[in-house]
Amino acid sequence: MEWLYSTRGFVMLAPDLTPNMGLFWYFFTEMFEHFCIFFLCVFQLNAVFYVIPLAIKLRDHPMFHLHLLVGLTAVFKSYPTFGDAALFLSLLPVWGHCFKYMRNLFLVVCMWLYSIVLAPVLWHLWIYYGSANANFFYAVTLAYATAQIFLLTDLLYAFLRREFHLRHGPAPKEGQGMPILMNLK
Amino acid sequence: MAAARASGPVLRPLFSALLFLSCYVFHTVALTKDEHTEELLIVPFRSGQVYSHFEFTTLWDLDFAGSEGPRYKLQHFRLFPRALGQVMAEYRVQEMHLTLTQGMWQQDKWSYPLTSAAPGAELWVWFQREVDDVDQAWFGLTNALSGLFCASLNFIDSTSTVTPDLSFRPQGLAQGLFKTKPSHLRYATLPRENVCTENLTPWKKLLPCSTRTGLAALFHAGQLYNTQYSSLGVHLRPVCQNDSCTDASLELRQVLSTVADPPAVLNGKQDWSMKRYFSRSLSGPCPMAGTSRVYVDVTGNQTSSFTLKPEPTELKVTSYQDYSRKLAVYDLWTFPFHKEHGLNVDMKWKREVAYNQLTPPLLYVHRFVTGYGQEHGGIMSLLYNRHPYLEQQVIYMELVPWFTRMYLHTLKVETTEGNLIQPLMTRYKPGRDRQAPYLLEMVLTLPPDSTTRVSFSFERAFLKWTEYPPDANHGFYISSAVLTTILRQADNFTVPPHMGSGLESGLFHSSSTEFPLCLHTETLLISLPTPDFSMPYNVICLTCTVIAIAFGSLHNLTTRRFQYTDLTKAGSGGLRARLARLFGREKQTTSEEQGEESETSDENTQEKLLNTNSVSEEEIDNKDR
Repeated sequence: MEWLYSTRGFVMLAPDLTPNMGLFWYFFTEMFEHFCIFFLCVFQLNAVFYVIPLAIKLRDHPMFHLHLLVGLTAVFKSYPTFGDAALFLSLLPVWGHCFKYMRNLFLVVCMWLYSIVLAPVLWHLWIYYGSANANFFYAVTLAYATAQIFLLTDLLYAFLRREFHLRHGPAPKEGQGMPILMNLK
Repeated sequence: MAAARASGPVLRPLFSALLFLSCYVFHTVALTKDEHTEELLIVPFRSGQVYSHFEFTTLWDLDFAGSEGPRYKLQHFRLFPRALGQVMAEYRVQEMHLTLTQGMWQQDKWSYPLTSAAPGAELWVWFQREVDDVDQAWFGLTNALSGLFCASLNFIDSTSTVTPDLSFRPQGLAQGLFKTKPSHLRYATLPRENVCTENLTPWKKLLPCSTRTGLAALFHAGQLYNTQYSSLGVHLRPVCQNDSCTDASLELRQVLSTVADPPAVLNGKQDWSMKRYFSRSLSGPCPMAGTSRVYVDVTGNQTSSFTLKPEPTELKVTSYQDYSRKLAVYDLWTFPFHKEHGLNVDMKWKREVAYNQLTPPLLYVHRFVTGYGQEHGGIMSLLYNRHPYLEQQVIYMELVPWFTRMYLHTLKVETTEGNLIQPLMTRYKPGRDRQAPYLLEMVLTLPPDSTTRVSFSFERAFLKWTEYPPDANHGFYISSAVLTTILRQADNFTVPPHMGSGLESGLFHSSSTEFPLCLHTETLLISLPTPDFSMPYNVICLTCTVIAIAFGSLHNLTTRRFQYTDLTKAGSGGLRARLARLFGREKQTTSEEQGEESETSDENTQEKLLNTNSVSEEEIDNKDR
């Protein structure tokens, strides 16, 4: 059963620390041996456990749930690639009607451009020229992950806000002064 | 008559006691027949350096009884060191070779050494046939030797140990009782290991006379390690007792080789003397040694370019094949120490060293790293065969650590003219991350008068920050490649390899036509990309922050519902709304929205929110109408 360790076990245990656009490699490079297993469990759990809360919230919208999970996997899996993000982005126009409720679109686009342009540059500087540091490339990785997370959460916010407006009508203009749309438990 | 009868009862027990004692003495001597030989060979090279080779050989005629394989019956240690003997018996070692070397033997200038050694520590062991768990025995042996020689051999683990198939065949007996299994060989090398006085001291203690008398009295650590090349060796093997090989004995060879550079010290002349080089002179032979000799190679004195003092005991000429050598022999047992007040061999040259073109030997090898950057790289070896018409079959062994992942499909063997050479046999054992290194062995036929290039690419792995050595940017060492072959000519050897024990049999009684050769290449230094070692806490914080952003946002969105709030009512809304109410509704925007998390939204986003929302409101109004 050694093949099991080399295939499924490789994805679960993440033994190889080659830099990629994910969050695992630098974290486990700098991790103390004592806490390795603990943080590995936390990270892998984090990658999968969003299924249940989102399933409860989006029980009437399975396609959107699937789309969000594709996006979350693209950020939190152990060895992500641009292909994972491409799958998520290519399905984004399906929910184009939600774009007008999105609030962080400019920020997301800026961060994404920044990370995509700088990632190969800083990688080259670190590995080939020896002038930059591993930290530069790591920062770009963090910006990339944050951009994706902002996009995901913004999309969910926009979707839910649109659902709210569909049920309860648009925000009243006049009336009792300044009505605000807020999240409250 | 009465006197004879009176002395009878006294003499008879005396006689029997004497008889018993003599039998006991003979019996003891027969059980522990061992002999010790110490020899020193000094060879001045044409390039100016002086090669000193000490060889201490102990031959012990053991009783190798055993039902299935050889078994040491170690009793009555006399000349054989007990510490080493007990370790060998405990871990069932049949043959052991340990070398601790500092510096690189320069093959093209100095021809071939007597024992080739890789820089750093190198250990290869053949275990006895009946050992069940070789890995357990290997682990125990490396730790025991590490304690015995004060060397960090305990760092040898599965990431640096291999079992070669073709190289490192047994050098001692390997037939009959000593027949070995191919899986019982272990080879490991630590190229980063340093050799210094603390390795020499326990090594000296294994000698019968230690450093009190004999040749070992010359050991002064400060001088020995101030040399270009210095190698300590311990070699243990079973050998035949006689020509018919009816019995076997255990041979322990302790070897110390140094190559010193006198011209760098003494105004350009190759002069050396024992007092100058070792800072002491010989005062007598070791009483335990049956033979104690110093050989000085004086072949180069045809034009009487140097003088050798004192007068040697004898001058011997040896010749094998077409090559003859002249050796000055000082026999310490017959040397008049009382007249000369110590033996200080002194060689004075008439002229300064003339550095001219040295002819390299017939077969030599160089190795280096190719490529740029810290992601990929390549290793290339150049194997030179300078024989004009004979081709040479060699076994080339390459051992690469796991963090330089070798790509076998990039392996290329070709001559510098571009002819591809097909290896006769290739054995490749791929490595595993953090478990086993990569081993490549090839049998190649080198064409005559050619240079063969063996090259392959590798990829560098990223290590965890605790796996880097203290000076991470110094780099990591790749151990030497080993070239094994059999030469037909002996003129490049300092002493031709021989089956017998001691230098004497090699220098004077060599009559073989095949000379096995083992060459080591340079060790390589590669740098791996390093993470920032000051960052563990920062990395944990930042990565967890990014994950917390996702978690927090999604938690908020899934557990809360949208709701309208009337801002005109007091006590509702956040800080901005209260301030707006306070300063009297100047900003009468139609609707103001707050983000669900005030932590993540910043001021800019707030402005954008207002703008986008007002736009969307209008759109909705338009839709409604």
